Amino acid sequence: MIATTFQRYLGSRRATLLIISLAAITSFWVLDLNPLRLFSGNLTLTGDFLLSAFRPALEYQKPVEGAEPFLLTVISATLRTLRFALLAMSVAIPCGALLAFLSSTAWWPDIRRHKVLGWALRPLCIVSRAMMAFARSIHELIWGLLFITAMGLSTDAAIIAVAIPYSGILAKIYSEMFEEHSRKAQLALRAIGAGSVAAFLAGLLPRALPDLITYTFYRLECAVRTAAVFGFVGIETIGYRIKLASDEFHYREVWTYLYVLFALIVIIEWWSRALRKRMDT
Amino acid sequence: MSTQTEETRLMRIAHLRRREPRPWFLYSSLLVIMLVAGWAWTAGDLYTSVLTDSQRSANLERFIGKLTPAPVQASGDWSDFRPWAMELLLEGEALKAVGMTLALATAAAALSGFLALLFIPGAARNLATQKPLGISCGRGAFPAIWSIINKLVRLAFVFTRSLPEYILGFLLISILGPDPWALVLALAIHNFGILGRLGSEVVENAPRRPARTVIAHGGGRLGAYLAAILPESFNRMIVYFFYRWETCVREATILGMLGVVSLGYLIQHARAARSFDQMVFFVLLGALIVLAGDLLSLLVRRWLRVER
Repeated sequence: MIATTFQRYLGSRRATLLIISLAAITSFWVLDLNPLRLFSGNLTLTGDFLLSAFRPALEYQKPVEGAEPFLLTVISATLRTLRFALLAMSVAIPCGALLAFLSSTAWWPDIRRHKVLGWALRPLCIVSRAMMAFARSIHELIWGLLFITAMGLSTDAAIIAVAIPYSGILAKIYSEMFEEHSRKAQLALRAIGAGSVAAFLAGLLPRALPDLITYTFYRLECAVRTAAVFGFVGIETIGYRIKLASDEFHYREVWTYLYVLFALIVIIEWWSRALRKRMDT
Repeated sequence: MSTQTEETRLMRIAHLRRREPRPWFLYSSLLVIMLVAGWAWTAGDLYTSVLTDSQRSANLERFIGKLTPAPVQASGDWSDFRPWAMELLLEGEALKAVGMTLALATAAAALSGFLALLFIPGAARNLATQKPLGISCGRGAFPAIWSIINKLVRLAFVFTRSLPEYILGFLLISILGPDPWALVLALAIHNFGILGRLGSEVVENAPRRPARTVIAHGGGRLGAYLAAILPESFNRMIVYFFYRWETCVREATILGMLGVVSLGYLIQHARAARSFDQMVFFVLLGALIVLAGDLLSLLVRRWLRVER
């Protein structure tokens, strides 16, 4: 089609770049993004926001008598964020692993020989792939909104709202990793008589495990961010505090919370990298 | 005779067992994760709800009762669904919102991709050093500058990556007002960090020889990046670009909730008006777009893979 015509006359690299640039220019035009408008807004507010980055608050910018000290509020918001992320992940990981197992063909016995089993396994695989795609295609915040409108806000509802799309994403990546890794060990085990599930568990899973763990840590990192965002629907995580502080234009407090979030992400990444280094040897 | 060899063999095995490295860090990590997860589950509710169980079930009942499209509910006939859906799509702002969502994602992905390309050579450990790819490249006035640049760019990538799009969008809208720029910048800043990190990993893993040739023939770091590394790893970069574009589409559907017309805005509106049938319709429309985006990105990646 258009892509192949472009490719023939321009070469595929130039064609790809051209198509991306055209799409980008169209989008800028559709959204009416004029760079000049960035400088026509409230410049003192922008300046205040940017300058606050260099002096994050250590106490309330406008202290109220008898309020909890600022740093204590920061710590409790951080702990809530972390807890929310962990709760969501501890539901999402088993669900995702199960879905990934069901939607992967890597552990299947030879279905040409076991016709009946094939008839049973194939629909199972298709159904779980469809569930995976559907769960993933609706954003966690929208799941949250749906649950909140249906049942009202509660911890369980928020956790499930995050766990649904997260297990879909985890399942997708896990099953891709199962397919990607070398099957040699698995096939060798099959050849000496191991059952197909046993060969998968002993031959393929250990090979894929470092990748699975690295990706799961990345997802934990995303879960921390999502937990912060869920502050905007009412769970008192970092996002909730950022909203309150920003509504009163206390940008120095906002930056404190942003830096805390940054620190959490850095710690998770360091941990993940340290684990990876030890698993690769 | 045979019992003795058996014995020495067992002893050898025991010896090897003792010498086997114990991954203490892995074990203790596992323990810490279990403990922390246990704490997360037992430390009480994160949100104390004011709703009683009966209110909750009444809520649920009302929500489910309103889920079927209003005309279908009135007539009890699902043939009324089609005109209702068409009307929502064509006469409301739905199509415009779909277009805006896609445009937000594309503009943001392109912007972040472009910016990331500019900063990637600074973050790649093999380029931003005193000796790029192990070749001395002139002493320079201030040799430590490269490691400083490298650290700074890496820090910028991690920091921008750690800021969630939604929070950035909220802050930028509070500063810039309800302007599409706020959402595009929010998406672009976060993805700048991710694309930068992924891109610098691609540069670090790129084949060394072409880049070394450029430097050995008198080219600089930038020359090696532009003339050897980028063409070599073009496909991998594009694959990452489309992967991020796909996530941008997903995020763009919700960023509208902050007040700029896109699908999230319509969802929020329908929810506020308690027309749950419309709300679910828009949610499913959003899911459809995300799936279409996934599919497109999959096709492009497959196309590029065949190319190689």
